[in-house]
Amino acid sequence: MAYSKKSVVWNLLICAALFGCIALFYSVDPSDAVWMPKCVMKQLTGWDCPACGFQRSLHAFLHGEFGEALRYNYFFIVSMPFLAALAIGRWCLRGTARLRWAKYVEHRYVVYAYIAMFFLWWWVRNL
Amino acid sequence: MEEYYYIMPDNKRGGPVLPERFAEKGITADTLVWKQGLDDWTPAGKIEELKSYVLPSVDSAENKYEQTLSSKTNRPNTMYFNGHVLPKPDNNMLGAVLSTVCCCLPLGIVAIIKASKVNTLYYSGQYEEAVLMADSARKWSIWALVAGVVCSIINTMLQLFLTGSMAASEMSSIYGI
Ligand SMILES: [Zn+2]
Repeated sequence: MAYSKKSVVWNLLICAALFGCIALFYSVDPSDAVWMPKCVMKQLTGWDCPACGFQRSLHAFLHGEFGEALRYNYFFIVSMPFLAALAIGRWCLRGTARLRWAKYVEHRYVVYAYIAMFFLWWWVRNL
Repeated sequence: MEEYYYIMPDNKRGGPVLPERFAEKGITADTLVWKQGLDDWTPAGKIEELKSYVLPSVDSAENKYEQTLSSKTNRPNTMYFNGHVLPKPDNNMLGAVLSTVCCCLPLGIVAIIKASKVNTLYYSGQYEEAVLMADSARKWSIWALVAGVVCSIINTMLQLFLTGSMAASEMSSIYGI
């Protein structure tokens, strides 16, 4: 299979960004860093958005504190495995294996379930 | 094979792209393409080495697509055009889902729904629609990521500027992160 120069550059950039993010969230505790991005929605309305706490979760997760990671954002347990499964399909599989994997991971019931849980979690966490 | 540049009917230029990815870009026999060494922009269907890679021109688009039946072969149904495999357009589902964990709100959800529709369209034989939907899905997930990440960063900078130096613990308990 031939790769165009553009896609090689893109993949390298994505890899660099990925490792940059991991390094950043490993070394910086978002709770202590005033300059880490803060949610607009939370500030304007006072409600937690479904993603609020994800940065702290990621920090805890990278340090092996899984319970702590969950406590900051329970949706972490849904979104992380889903993201991991999609990443495997995108970067580790090719051809038929990739299509077959996507048929399960991106099945419309899986997608609908994710969306439903997203809104459910948004509602529940603000009760 | 060398990479080509192309001009779409709406005058949008693209490339360079390998002929293997022509179908994904929606390049038909009528699309003008060019590469180093060619005198002029030429319809892709007129270039011998590209004939098996281009989609049929718009008015002859009917009846040339075939699909394998997934129920019989128990494999993902792949679309073919004149015996040549048309790859499923990249729906960028990963980017769409990633944007939903970045405080982007429902923008990312739109991207996910569109990404899912790419699969539905592809597997129901609507290839051009799937390509267009993939384009739209990609745009939505990029905008969702920008809306989530960039707005959060700008918001934080603004708050730091307005409040001076607020204690870290106080700041993070007020604004979700
Ligand atoms: Zn948020």
